[in-house]
Amino acid sequence: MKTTPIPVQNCEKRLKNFSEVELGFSKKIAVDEARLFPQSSSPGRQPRCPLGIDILGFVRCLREGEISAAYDKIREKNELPGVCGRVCSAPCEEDFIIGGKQMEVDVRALERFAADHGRPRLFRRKQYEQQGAMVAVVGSGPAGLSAAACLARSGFRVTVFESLPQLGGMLRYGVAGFRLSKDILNAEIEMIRDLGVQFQANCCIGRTVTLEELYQQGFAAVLLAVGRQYPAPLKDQGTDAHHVICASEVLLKLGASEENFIREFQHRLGHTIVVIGDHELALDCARACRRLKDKKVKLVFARTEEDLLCHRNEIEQAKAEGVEFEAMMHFQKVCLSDDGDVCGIQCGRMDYADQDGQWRLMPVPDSQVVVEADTVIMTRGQTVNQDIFKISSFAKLTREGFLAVDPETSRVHDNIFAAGHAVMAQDGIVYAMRSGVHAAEKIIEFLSGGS
Amino acid sequence: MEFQIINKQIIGRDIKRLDVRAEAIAHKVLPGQFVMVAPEENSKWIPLSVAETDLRRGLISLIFQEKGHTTQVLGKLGIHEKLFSVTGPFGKAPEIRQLGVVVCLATGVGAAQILPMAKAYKKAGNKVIGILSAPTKKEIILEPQMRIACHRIFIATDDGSYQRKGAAIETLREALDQEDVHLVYDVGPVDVMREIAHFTKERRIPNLIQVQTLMSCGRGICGSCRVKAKHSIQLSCEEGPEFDGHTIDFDYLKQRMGHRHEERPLEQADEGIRGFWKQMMKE
Repeated sequence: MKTTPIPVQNCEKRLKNFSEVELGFSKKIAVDEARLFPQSSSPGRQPRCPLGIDILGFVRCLREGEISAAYDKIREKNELPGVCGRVCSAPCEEDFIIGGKQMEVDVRALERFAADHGRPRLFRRKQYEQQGAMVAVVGSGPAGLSAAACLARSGFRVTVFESLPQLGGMLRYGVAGFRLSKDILNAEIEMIRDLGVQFQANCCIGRTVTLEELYQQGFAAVLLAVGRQYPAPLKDQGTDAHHVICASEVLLKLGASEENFIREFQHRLGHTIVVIGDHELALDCARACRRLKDKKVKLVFARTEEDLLCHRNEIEQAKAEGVEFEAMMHFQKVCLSDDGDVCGIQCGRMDYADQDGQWRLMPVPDSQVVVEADTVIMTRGQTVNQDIFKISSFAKLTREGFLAVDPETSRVHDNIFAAGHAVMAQDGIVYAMRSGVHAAEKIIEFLSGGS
Repeated sequence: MEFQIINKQIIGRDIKRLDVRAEAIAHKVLPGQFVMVAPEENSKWIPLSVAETDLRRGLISLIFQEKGHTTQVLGKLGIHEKLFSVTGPFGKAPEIRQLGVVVCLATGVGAAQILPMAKAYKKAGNKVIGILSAPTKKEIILEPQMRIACHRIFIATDDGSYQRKGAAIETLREALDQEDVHLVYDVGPVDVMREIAHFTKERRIPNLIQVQTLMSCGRGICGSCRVKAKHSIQLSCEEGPEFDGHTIDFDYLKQRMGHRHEERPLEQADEGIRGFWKQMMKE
């Protein structure tokens, strides 16, 4: 079976705008695709969605042409179908192995189609009986939003606090607009608002409002879904130079305003840019920089191209846009010229080697290569923001920089819970959402058990 | 939270003062902290220090000089219009102790940052000597407020159009000769701060400065506000904006402060970019 590739914007055109690259299936193609979709995965391996979406079920609905039914099926488990249909890393797609052969399926595109076309046009505000205890959710990223929706459905009065001016957390300020349009994000957040969730932006818990004040207002439990944004200390040689930029800054500016992004970075970035990193953040940065005028962008990473932590569609699109890939190179240091400007990065090659009977990617000794660049964008190692101690003195960080929680109950302390990327190493929006739902269930348990 | 502009004043050449309603912030902000302000939905967030607060009405006063694009947009807003976002207070609130005699020196619009510090040091029982300096009389701001906040005040302009003539450092030298000073606190351009740091180091007087680096987020996400102090990289939004003038790396700071001015308004940007952007808007 060969899947139809998802339609995309013309490559030359899309380098001159910031609107979504993928255009989504038309109804005819989507239904055809759903018909061609494997009716079952291999007996041993069900397609595992981290959120537990019934993938075969919703595809079956699409096959019948019942798009709203497919949407409802997704929405049962996933509060942000439109977002996941665009930016999920789709770990489920690897599970379609039939006859020992990996099937190429595009679950993400089908989910996107169901979300875009199956969404109720006139969403009726359901009357949820929200008489329950008050719960505060700190952070409106993927984890915070899914937890808030889950709690609101169970009848709790939920308020989401966001410190940035607009809602969405890293979905807005960490994912580029050409992958996830802001309109879709706003619409999905509106759907969650319709469940009865209150939102408060511009409110930094621990600074504008403290936890004690929240307790005084009557909040019975707090969920910290603060994410992991603090750039780890720039330790390596040369990384404190002027033209070394953190990826989060690039995407933050892009998320806030595309016009300002161009205005500022067109001058600030040099003509040859190296992005170091192997996940979505790095690829987004590289593609965003390609959308500026006269920029050559190289992506340097220590894996093979197949192992990149991005969806394969995005890798193809990035290549078409002219991002050069330098695979199997691990970053060593930034090279500086005599007057302190960046002139390149020094990398070591990686190759497969036998280690204890296993083929592993290992650094090759004495294989230094210099990749020329005048701007370096770093995406590595982010830890939980130090502000967490301002929020609660009970918070503790683990050695790797995550928030320490009790894995059984997701609890930090008494009535403070934590979820999302702040507590786990796994990248990917879908895992943060799962963690949010998990923590919400624990809060429900805690609050109903207590009363 | 409203962020409505209650009052607007033009207090100097290109220097404006906005009183903004932000009740939660007004009650929380401490001397030395700042807020991040975005005038419109699409504009950049800029750090502005809170010069004064009015707790009764829940107002914070923001003072800024119209330099870049964002401050110009901010300056065009009128009374009763709303700012898109004001968040904070960010930054570490420094500990303020009784030391004896404290010199609070500000160059130009730095007076907005020095005023809360002068007030706080006076409240802690110090004798505060204020020094305001600017190129001309038109850039001297907050003079009445500083007169109340300080025990003695010196004002110097570069061209001698108001009070004494000369640079800030000469006035400082004079003040140090007259009094036994225990701390010099200064805000200003990097070159002035560097000069003062050298000068105070010679005389073995502690020196604190407030840095104004490029800053994108204010809450430790972007890493653009990094400075080098005590040979390690620190984020001025988390650890600062107050630093010890004797341990900070001024060359590095100048680099970091330098490129805040690289951002030009789009109208003045070169033709190529403008064409590019216009084309983009059309599509």
